Amino acid sequence: MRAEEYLAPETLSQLAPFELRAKRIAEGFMGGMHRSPFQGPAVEFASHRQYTAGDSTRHLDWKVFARSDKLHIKEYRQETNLEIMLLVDASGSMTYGTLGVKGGWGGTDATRQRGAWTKYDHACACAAAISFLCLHQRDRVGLGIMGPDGIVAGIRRSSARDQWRSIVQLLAQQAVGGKIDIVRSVDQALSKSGGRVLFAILSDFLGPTEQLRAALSKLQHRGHDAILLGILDRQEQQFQLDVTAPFDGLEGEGRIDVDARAVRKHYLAELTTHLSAVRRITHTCGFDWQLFDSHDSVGPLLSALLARRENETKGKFG
Amino acid sequence: MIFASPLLAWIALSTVVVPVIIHLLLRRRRTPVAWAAMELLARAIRRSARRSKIEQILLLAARCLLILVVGAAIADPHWSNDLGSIRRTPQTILIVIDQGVASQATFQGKTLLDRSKAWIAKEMESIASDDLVGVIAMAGNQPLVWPPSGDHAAVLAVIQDLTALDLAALPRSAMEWASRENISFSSTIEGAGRETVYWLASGWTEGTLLSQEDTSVAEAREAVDRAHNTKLLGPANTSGNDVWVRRVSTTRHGPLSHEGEVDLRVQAERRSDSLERLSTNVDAKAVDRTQTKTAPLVFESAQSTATANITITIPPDQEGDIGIRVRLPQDDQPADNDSFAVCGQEGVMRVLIADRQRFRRVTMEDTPPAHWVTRALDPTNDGSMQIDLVDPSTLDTGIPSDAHTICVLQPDLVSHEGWKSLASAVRLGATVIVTPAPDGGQDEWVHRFRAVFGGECVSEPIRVAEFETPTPLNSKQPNSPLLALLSTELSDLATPVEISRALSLQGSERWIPIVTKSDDTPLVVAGHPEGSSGLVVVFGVPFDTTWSSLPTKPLIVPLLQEIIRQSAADNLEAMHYTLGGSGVKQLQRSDMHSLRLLASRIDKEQSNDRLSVDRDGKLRRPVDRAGLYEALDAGGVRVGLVAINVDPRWAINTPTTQEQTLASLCGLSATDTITNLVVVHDDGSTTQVTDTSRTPGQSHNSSTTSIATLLVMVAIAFLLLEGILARVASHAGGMLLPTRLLRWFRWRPTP
Repeated sequence: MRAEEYLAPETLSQLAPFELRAKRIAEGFMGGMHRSPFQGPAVEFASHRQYTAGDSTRHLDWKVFARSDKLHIKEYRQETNLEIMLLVDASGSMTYGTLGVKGGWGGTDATRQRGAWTKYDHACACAAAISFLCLHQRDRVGLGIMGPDGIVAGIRRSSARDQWRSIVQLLAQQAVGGKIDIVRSVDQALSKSGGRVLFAILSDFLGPTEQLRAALSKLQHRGHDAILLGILDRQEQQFQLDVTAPFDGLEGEGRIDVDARAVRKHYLAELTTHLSAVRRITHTCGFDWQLFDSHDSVGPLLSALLARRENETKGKFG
Repeated sequence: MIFASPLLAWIALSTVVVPVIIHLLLRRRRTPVAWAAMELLARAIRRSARRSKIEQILLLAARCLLILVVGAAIADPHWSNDLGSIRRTPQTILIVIDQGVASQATFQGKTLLDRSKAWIAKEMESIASDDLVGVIAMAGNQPLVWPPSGDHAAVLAVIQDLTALDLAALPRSAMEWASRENISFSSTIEGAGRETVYWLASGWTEGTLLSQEDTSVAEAREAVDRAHNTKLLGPANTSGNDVWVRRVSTTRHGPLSHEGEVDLRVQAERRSDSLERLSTNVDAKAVDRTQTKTAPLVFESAQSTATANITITIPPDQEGDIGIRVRLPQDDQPADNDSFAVCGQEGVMRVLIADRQRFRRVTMEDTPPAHWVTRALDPTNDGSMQIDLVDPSTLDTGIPSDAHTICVLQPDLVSHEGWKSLASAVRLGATVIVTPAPDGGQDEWVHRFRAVFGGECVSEPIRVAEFETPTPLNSKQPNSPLLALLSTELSDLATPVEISRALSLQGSERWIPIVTKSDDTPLVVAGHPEGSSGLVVVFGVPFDTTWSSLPTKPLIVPLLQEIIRQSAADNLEAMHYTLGGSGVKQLQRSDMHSLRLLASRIDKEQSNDRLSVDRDGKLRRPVDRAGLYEALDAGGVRVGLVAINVDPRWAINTPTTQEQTLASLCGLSATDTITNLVVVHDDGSTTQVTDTSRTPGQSHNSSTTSIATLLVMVAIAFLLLEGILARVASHAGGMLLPTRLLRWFRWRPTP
């Protein structure tokens, strides 16, 4: 497939006004647009502090010394680049989709299985958009595909020019199926990230909320930031089914006879409860949550998410 | 419980499996659906599983019961309610009894009405004390006991006092009245919660054209199968006087007035084979009046006819025709001892005066003739006559049909067309009074008069006799039938009248002088033109004081009044037989050539309805009008009377058999309120009918109550229940259309 197919021009145009900013202070090796906790050679003045023995005299503010006869050190804010880690759910449940695709669309492994635009396809589109945006602002982006044994495939974080194409190709070629272990996946991702990283987790989050809570707690504990992008098909959200038929689980849960109209009310209640729990866990950890409908385009919701984060960043750092 | 249609019941029972099959079909496995959120779905199923299963079972049960109840309702089940068994609820018994003209027919020595009375009396012995009984008569649709009463003895007394009327019985309208009123009665405190039972006491089977007194019942019954809708009114036995009223006429001249006494002349006949002297009585009374006048009726030896004169009092508030019942109380023939005469009563007569208005000085000489005539006809100006003044030229356009008399006071102003109109009116029964032209010439109008009426009454040559000295009228006036009432005083009244000049008239065989001058020449002649039923009266003088003193003398008042009233009375056919007559006369079927309707004249209907009869005495077409018919032979001579009791509203097209009659009676109410119906036949047997929709020949021996209506209501309840359950269960397979509609309006899925 062509990598450009994952990033529609209208999505790019919608994302263009925004910059992905780390809500928290990001650490990076390169000078970038993100605030860094380290003060160093930079142009943006931060504050004064009294000189203490051991400080380098390079940063003494001599003008202040001339006026007040006191030694003060000028401190500057160092801007750095952002470390972003995309964690994409490649479990069997992500292969569900009810939106048809046009002929000639190659798609992913999930598309080929279902012949429809699946949640995994939508997650890939989101991941492609985020990675393109970050790479465009010289941030380092990495990818981890979550599978039954944790990260089953991944790409190290980099800001190289062909990084986006590598990410997209891996997403498209990755086999989808089985269950995921989100805790193990997060552990493995944390083990490979030395500094603070913005984790973008793309999943339907239909698994147990306890596992999600454990995974996010680890991220929070390590001081990382995270964005949870929940992706559900419209049929899953509305359950407009009028059949009485056996329902087969996509992750090997077995078969259940269901009178769709009869259980619709209770299903929607359960779904609302579940999503509320996921949102509550996410907010408790201080992370962002955004629910995507796989029938809608990526751009509007993603741009709304970035705008919200930018506003929060401005409010926190002025 | 029994079903009127067992086949439908079985079909309904078998269709119960339909919802079960649908239910199983809905449960069969279909193509699996791949699903991601299985954990959430499993939790939702766990929450709704138990309730859903209960709802599904209830829904299935509701649908099965719905179909079962609908099927049972179509099969029309009845709840057995034998009269001999213990009743659950008190009853309202509505007795609809036939006292019409045919109920007087006699079989085995008893009339049908007597049989109905006996049957009712017997049945009323077995009804419960808390039952209410109402009585409705068929003839006239008059409620005899209403609202239904619990005083059974009083009700029985009313029934026993019931006498037959000479009217057609209308069972359908009577039943409809009873059904309609019973609905109102059922809503009262007394009538609520009661079961309604109808007793239809009527000999409503086919009748017979037989009228021989020696006809056996078996033969009569045999004839029933061949002649439809007729009922014998001939006597069943020959004992008694065998006298019948032949004719009832009035001796009073002119139409009957509103009040006063009427002199009746009753002509009676008796069997020609019993010619001994016979003395009996005849009673007469106005209908609806209790006052009865009796007069002796004496048949001299070898005489078959006798005449009795009776004076009865006309009811003061009587309007229209007056019905007079004449009865032979000592005659034993129940069917012919009554005669019913209708005497035409004309409250106001209309007189047209054709005279041109002239403006003159108000002197006696210049008083117009119309004024004298008006004063004579309505001296007290009480409106006893309607007098209209018209111009003679307007007679060209015709004469109003309701004008009894036209006074032509200026004949010279009447055109030839006007004379034709007058002739046409005379042919139809009107009276025309013509006087000479007071001012103009006489020749021209006399020629026109002769052209239309035949004018030999005017002497030739036409001339006006001038008298130097006024000549009086003849002191001895002729006795003309037209002035019979004035016969004793006419001479005295005529004496003061003097004639100065007069048109010369002459009498003839057709033109009879009714008033003459002293020289025995006629002053007034009257005659019936050829082919006319009306009367033409020609005066020799106009109503002008320059011609005679007649306008100023008292004679003019009775003279004009008698001429007009008596001529009108002669022209009106005021006597109509309705019942009675020559029932005892030997009548062979072959004698009857046709039947002519008589009795419907009571209802002012046309009486020219004739029914032809074949050699077997069978009608060639169905009878569609009830009443008394006159059996005529080939020469048009009456050979007997036949009462035909047909309700024209439901026997108009085809002959009815007994079963068809019952079926029609049962189906007369579309409201299904007639639950129990008992029909009394003329042979004393009864038929109890319980079903308003049954086909003929399916009578039950016991009284049953249809519960189809109840089942329909239950079905509606199940239908609503099914809709509610289907909505609660949110099931997609709403099986019935109402359910879908219900869901369409009530189900709003969450967007």
